[in-house]
Amino acid sequence: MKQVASVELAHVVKRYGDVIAVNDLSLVIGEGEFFSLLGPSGCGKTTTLRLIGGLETPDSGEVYISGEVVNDRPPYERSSNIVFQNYALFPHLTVNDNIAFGLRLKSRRTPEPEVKKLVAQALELVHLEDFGARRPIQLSGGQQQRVALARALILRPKVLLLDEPLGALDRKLRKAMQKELRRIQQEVNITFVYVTHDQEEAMSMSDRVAVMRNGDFEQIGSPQEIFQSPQTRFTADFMGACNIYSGRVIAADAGEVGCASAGTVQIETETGFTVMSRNNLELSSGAATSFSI
Amino acid sequence: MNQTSPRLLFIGCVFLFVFMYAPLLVVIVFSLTPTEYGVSWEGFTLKWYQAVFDNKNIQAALKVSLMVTIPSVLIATAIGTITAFTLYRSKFIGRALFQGVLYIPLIMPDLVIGISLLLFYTSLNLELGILTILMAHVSFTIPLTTLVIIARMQRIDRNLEDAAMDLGADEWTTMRKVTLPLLKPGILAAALLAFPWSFNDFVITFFVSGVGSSTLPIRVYSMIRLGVSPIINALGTLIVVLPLILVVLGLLLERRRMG
Repeated sequence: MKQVASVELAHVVKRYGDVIAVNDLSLVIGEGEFFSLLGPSGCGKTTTLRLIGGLETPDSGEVYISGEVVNDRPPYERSSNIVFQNYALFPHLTVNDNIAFGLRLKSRRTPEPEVKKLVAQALELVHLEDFGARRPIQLSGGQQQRVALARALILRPKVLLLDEPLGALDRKLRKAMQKELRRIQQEVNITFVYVTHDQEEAMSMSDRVAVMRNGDFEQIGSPQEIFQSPQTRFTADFMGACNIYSGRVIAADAGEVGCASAGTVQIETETGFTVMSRNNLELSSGAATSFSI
Repeated sequence: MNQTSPRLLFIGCVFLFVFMYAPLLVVIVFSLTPTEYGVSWEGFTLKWYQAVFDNKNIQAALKVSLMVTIPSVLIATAIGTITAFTLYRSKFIGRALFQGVLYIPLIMPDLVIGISLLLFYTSLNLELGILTILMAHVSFTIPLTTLVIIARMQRIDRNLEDAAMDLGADEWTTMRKVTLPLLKPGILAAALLAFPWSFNDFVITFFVSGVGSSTLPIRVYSMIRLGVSPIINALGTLIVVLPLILVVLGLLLERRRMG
């Protein structure tokens, strides 16, 4: 995966007054990756998304899209598009006009027959062929969500930013839309950055997941890695682990330096059990730790 | 709860409406009958309406009224839109104070506004006439239009503007293609409410109008001093009914968009 990164954050900080929303984040997202930002509300995941989209500017650090620094570029000059949590469809325009909004702007100068063709294709992609003439208010939540998706995808962004797009849907519809989103992502082959607080959703859709807490990353990895070997108590907790033990390291073997395979570690729990584990956290003897089985 | 309670409420409502609208009804009824003095019904006629339309003084006053009201509504609505934008969008110091100050003219007695405007215009050596009436009307209509438009603006989802920018529209295009169309019902409602607000004003206009520049309400007042003629009834009916239609239209429009 050593190509040009689709999205890169380098030591990005964002404050609102005294509150630090995003604290020194660094992150590389690859081309065509389905990447999820997962965390409880207020952890800074939406702010991170808005920083990539240009709706917020970082106080320090750099945001890159396709290798270019975009810090000073307004949202309308970035090759990213956002699907908003509440869809943000224009209520005064029809579905067709909503989807064509970006194409019809002066900056893009798309000829009208081309607009018509692309809108038809976009409607087809999200299975809403017969709804073009309706107003957003005449659509169900799931349909509105798909219009928002089509409106963003039609502009062929390099990165699509999705802010809890399924949050307002009922459980059954959400399941269906998860599959749908994954299908669309693979069909259009665009990098997706997906914000959610639902760990199950992140696990089932993503190539990689970043678990966030208080404006910082707790752990970044594939769903499997995060689920099977959470590296912090918070991550384990958030993933729904219910058997977390606290203890102290009584013996540690750091493993061979520079080698992928970690050494072993022996932990004595507060209740007196002794457990052996792989030492992939580079723990040393005497350190307090917690683990989950 | 027994049955009498809703019935009592109903009777109360009827009394309220009689109390409010019976005087108006008297004016309307006696504008439609030839009786010149006293209060008896002597058949239907439209001759008082005919007399209104034939009356040169009323025509002149109506002309002055419209020359004041139409431009002042347009100017106040335009300024109100810009003020609402500024107050709502930008975050300058003293913004809350500024918005609070907007309410003051709405609760200040017309008498005080009238006198202060009169003093202000005379101290500027302005000759009292249509121009001073127009200026006064613009100044007391702006708070109304601004507040109506701000109320509408607060209901616009900020995400919609973010979405427009995200899709490639710069600030100006976003305002033109998203914010203004969404604000349109509010702007229209403001103008429709401002119209009777300006058209009906008597007290303030009384202070700032000069000789020969009477608006309709002032003309009516001077006619009444010579005795109440049924012409006034007919004119009163017209003045009540026409703006009423405008206000009802304005409210309906606002409600339809709220839906």
